[in-house]
Amino acid sequence: LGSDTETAQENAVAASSSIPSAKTLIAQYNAGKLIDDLSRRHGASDEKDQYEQRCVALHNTGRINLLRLISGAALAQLNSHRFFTLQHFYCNTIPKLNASARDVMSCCRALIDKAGNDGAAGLPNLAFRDWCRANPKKAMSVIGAARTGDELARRFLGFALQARDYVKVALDFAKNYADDRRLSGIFALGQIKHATLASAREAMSVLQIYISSGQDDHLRASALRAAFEVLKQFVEFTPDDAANLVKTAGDDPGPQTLLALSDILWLDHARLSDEAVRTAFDTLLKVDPAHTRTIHNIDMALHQLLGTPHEVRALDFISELLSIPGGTLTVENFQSFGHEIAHGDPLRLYRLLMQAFLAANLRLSSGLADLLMGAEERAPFDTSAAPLNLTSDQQIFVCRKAIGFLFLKPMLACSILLSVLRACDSDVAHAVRELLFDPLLVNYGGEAKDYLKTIAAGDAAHAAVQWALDREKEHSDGLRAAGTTKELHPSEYQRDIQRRRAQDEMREVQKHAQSKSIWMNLVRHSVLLYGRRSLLYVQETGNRRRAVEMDLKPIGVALEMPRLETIDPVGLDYKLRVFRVERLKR
Amino acid sequence: MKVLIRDYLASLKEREELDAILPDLLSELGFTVFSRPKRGTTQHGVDVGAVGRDEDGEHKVFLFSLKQGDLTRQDWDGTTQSLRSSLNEIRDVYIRTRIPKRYHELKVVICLCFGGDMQEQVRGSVKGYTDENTTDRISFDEWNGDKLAGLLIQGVLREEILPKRLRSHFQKAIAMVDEPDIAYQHFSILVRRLTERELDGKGRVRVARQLYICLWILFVWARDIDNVDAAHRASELVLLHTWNLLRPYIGTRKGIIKALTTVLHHVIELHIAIATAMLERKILPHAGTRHTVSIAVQTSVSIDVNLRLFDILGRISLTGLWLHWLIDNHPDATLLAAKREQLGQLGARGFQLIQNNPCLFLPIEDQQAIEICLFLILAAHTQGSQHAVRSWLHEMVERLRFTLQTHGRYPCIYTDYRDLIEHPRARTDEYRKEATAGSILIPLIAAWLAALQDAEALKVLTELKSSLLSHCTLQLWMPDESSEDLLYVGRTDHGIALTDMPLTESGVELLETIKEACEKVGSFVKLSAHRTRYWPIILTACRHYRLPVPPQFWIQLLLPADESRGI
Repeated sequence: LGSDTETAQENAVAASSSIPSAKTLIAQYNAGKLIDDLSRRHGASDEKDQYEQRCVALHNTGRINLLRLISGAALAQLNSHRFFTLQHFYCNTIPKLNASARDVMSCCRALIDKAGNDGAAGLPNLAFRDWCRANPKKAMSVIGAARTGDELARRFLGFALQARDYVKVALDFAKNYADDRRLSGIFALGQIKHATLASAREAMSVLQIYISSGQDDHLRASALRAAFEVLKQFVEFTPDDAANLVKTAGDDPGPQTLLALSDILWLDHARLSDEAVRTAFDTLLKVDPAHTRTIHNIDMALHQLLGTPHEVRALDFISELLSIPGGTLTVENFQSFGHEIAHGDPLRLYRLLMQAFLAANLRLSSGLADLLMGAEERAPFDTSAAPLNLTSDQQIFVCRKAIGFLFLKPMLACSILLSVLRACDSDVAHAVRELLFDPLLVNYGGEAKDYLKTIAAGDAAHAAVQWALDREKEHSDGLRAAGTTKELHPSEYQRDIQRRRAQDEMREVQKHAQSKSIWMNLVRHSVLLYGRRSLLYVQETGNRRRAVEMDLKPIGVALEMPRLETIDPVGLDYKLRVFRVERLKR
Repeated sequence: MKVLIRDYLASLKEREELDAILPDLLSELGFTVFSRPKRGTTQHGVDVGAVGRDEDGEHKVFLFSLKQGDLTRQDWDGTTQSLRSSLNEIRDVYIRTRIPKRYHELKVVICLCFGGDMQEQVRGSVKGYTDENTTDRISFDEWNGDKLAGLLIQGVLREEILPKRLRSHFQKAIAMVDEPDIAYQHFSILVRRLTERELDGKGRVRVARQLYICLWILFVWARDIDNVDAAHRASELVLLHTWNLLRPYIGTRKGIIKALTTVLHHVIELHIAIATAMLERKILPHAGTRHTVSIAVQTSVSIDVNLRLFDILGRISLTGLWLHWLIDNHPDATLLAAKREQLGQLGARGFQLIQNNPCLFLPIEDQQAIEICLFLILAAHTQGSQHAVRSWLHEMVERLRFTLQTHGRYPCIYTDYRDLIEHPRARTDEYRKEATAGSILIPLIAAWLAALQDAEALKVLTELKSSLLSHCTLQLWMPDESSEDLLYVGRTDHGIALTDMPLTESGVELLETIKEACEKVGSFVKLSAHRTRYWPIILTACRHYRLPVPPQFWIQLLLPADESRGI
């Protein structure tokens, strides 16, 4: 497989052209082709700056009108990549343009609408805010128009209010309007840089009212976000102030409030006390699994909190969230967190696994097992279960769970059993060594056995491991005893069908993997029929061509299949299911 | 062809092998055999005695003393078992006292018979002995592998009765004996072509002998390459076709039926010998070791293990049932104890095989109920532990429930390997409904569980029948009036399906229904194999042609003694 990025080729093509002259730009403008050129300008930054300056100058001298280029119809023709190139150009140039507020707002609205749900969709709002700062009188006219009910002005009110940090005006909108203009006022209160602590406190007092229960959900969410923005501006605000906000928001929250809370937990968790984090997580247990933005924020928050003093809260939260009866969320919904768990601190993963097993938390246990299946091979846990202070029943129970969920990662499963063996009495050790032999060593004669052979004589688990290895040897010797019994072998016809089926399966797996691959959408896909290296030429600036050579490398994954999957699939499936779903009697 | 037969002859062992085919060979050449090999009796050097025309045209008595393979110095002289000692005994005792009176006037030819060649270093000694002891009445002749092969080709396998195209199938069967499916295909063509012709009594005897000799040759070659699978399957086929040749003559002309019965018994013995060669040497020694036989399948596909292990269970069962029949019908005092011991071992090892190879706790094909049924009958006849039977069936029900509920590898109606390897093709209710449209397995195990009073397992079955299997037609199969003509030759378009079997938690209604049906359908007792007490032939046909075992074979085992009368 050889590949090359489309982006790289486009870059190379773009880089090959120099900055157009003013005359060319005017000609392009008059021919209706300037928007096409603007959407392709993503070369070196100094060239881009010069290009933008030249365009602004032409606009401000009235030879072209950049704002009129933007319309829904014009934007519809652009693909995603070119649109965002264009948006970037406008975000940089809008603050410098001489234009009416209406033209600027219309342009920004079109750019925002086209961007849809993308994370960068709101950037033109900031460009408008900066334009307002550069044109305060025009900003005031926007505020005035909003007061009279002008729809376009109302839409941009929150940013116009930031032009000169109009606190009083913002408070006025927050207090005296009951529609979207109140939301704009609240939003502005959070974004405005308060000159004094008194101003901030005044804003905070208004915002706190709107955060409390009984208010409109959108209003609560906006007020909560704004209040945290105000908090950031003065060190005089204490963690208790933040905790109070979280506590107030936690009272009968709606979906938007939960979304805002998840934002804060993700982005402002540094301001939160442990108690506030706990309160926030308790509140977020009410999240609707269908609200993907909130789930995404929670995922990011969990990821951020790992490795912080709030880590235990994060792990308790995920544990509790995934054990809610009838819940549909799984670890897969929290991919950033999951990735960090699977690849980060092994002891943390061990503790979370044990927590999941002990609680018989099916979704968390399965989710973690799936994560480990998908992750690169990791070293077995090298620890003891002693700090967990488990009872004898619990020790055997977690071992069975480890086998049930981590059966296809036998080394990891073995290492959990070993951690118990290092902390248990002889009765439990007898039960655990049986499990070590059957089903683990009965099924796996490869890496799991090799791993167990490395357990040193001084290790508390050594005796049990030796016993299990001895049983395994006896079992393996028995398996080989029959030698070759031709009468039992599948016929050539049957083997042929097996081969064809395996080929079909592999083909399907490859297709599926490619359909899931993020790379396949980014790269050009070439299939090399011959050779072990590829050579292609890339166009560079000045009609030069650069040779790109690529070596082919083999990529392989090996997985040891459990022996009983072939000789007793039903029995194995039954046993593992029992291990997975059984619960400890209280 | 001659080379092929010579190699086969050279591989034969004296006991029960060379002496087993020689009488048939002689009969086919026109000899009258008056003495056949017998175990436990003093032979005085003679393995086979016959009267026939010598090359000079004169009627003479031929006394054969057999040795396996090549005749070596050790075989010739030096021990009490040597050929020279045998020849001395023939001259000193047999000729004087054991030749039937009616042949006393005939000259005697003592035949030194061996499957291979006479080694050169011994030829001088043999010549010296025969020259010295040749008289007017007694002469000596050498019947080596080459001569025997020639006689076979001129006799029982001569071209008029085994044409070239059939020889070709036979040769291909032997050449491909390590690919049992292909070898069996060719051999079955040979069997069908030989038996499908219109044949009179003598013709039937000749064909039966041909089948027997061909089976022997196939077996010896299979044994040489260490894979007797094809030979075992071929032996079942030969057995069934030999019976089909014989059955019209039951109760008729004495000579034909006697000759056919003799061949039939040889085939039965050969069939058991082939089964024993595989089971006792290769499978049963490992039945007591966990997973060993399963692993020996050497596959990465679980379906192969399931198919092979149930197949082996069926072979164990049928071999055991043939031994049981042999003990009941041909009590040879010298062998009885050994046969009983062998039978007990088969039953016990069968249970060990199940315990140590857990795939035997649930079949993948519904039709593997045939093997399960055969083993249950064997267990009943060998006084197998009721507890072991009950545990096996109980676990089977548990696994059945589990696999049905989880859309796992539950028993399905499919028999094609491509379907089985994909099973379950979809984990949907629709597919499950299609794959479990009918069942002979469920009523079978329900009936046995009812007799064993396992209410818990019956409850599970009843619940499954009223939920996941509500669409499934529970059924059993019984022969009808057309079965007698079709059963032994592999036709499956005959018989009666007993359907809509009642399933309740007590199982009483089920047993009653089966009992009533068995009483009502009288065709089973009219089957020739049943009438003549050769009942394992029916079981062999069921296993070989994949027909359910008729409930008449087992229902009486499940009913209280007073209720089972008359079935």
